[in-house]
Amino acid sequence: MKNRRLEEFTDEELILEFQQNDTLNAFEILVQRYKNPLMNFVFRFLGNYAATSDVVQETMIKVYKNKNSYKTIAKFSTWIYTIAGNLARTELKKIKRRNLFSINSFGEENKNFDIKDDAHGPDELTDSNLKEKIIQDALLKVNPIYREMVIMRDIQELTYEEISQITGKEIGTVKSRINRGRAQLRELLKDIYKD
Amino acid sequence: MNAEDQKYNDLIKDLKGLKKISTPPNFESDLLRKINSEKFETKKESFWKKLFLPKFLIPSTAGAAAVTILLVFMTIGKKDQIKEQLVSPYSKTLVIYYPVNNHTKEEIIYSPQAGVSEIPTATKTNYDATTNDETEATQFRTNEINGSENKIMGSEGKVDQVEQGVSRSTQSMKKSDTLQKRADSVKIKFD
Repeated sequence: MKNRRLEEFTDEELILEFQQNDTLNAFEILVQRYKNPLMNFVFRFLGNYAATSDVVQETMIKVYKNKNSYKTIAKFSTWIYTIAGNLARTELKKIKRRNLFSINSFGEENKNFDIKDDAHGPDELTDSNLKEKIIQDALLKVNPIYREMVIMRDIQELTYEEISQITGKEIGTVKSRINRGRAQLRELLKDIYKD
Repeated sequence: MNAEDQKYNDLIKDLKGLKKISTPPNFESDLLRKINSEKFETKKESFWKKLFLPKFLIPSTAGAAAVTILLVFMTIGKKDQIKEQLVSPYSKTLVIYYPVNNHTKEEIIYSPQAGVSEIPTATKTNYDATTNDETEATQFRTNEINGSENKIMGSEGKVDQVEQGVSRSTQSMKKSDTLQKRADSVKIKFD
């Protein structure tokens, strides 16, 4: 292990090195490896870039501070995705509370307002960027419990076993939730998938 | 890809094709700065500790507590005093002491239970304070007391009369040189 460069280490070896020798370089390599996958995962879940960046930074800080909580029996990726998922869910609740408060503050006599749903006409769907935006908007409307799993499976391409370990749910539950999430998403995107 | 995946093939393909999101350019430097700042940050006090025991409030809180305790005790003392003052005079026992043959005689004039007793009217009107003969004076007074027909029964008006009689009696007793030589004083005391 000593003859190899840190860049060649597996994730588990790097975290072990960081735990045992406090090697900051090992931690930095882990950050390099996971910063973008986690950004992608959290952004698809939250839909807010600034909040996503904060959540990923917070995840890395937690890894740094709680390095000794990691046990080698689990994969490092499972551990870091679990941390990020928990923080993302907490952030989502905060965002929802903030939105609810800001909408209520505009109204008189505690009136609530529905947020306008910007429907896109069929002729607009040609632009790929726009299509991406529509998919992202639809994804944010899917129930968060299903959304998280759909993102892990179909965007992050994690296995059912990994998702099961990250979320702490049975594989059957994971599969069922992924399918429900996909069904909801397809319903929301019926203009795109007409057949 | 299983059958379920096949069913949503087009959707999965689009999801996989979504643009990859990257971190902002200053992500790592920000992260290291945050880690370093947290490393040297002193441990924050909990919210509840801050709420109930802010350091700057400790001396003033102690002072306020001391003042409060003092005020409570003062108020209780005052209340007792006021209560004492508010007690009706008719709920007290009126006793008169006077000297007879080198002894101090005690006579209850009024008590809440018994009401007003016989008043030694001689002491009010007929007592000759100028006499020098103690025995004579005492005998005279005793006779006068025994012969007193004025009995005032316990009522508010009668108690006033009792008080007036007592005060006159006291005045005349004071005048008596003989009695003053024998007794230090005539005491009227409320028990």
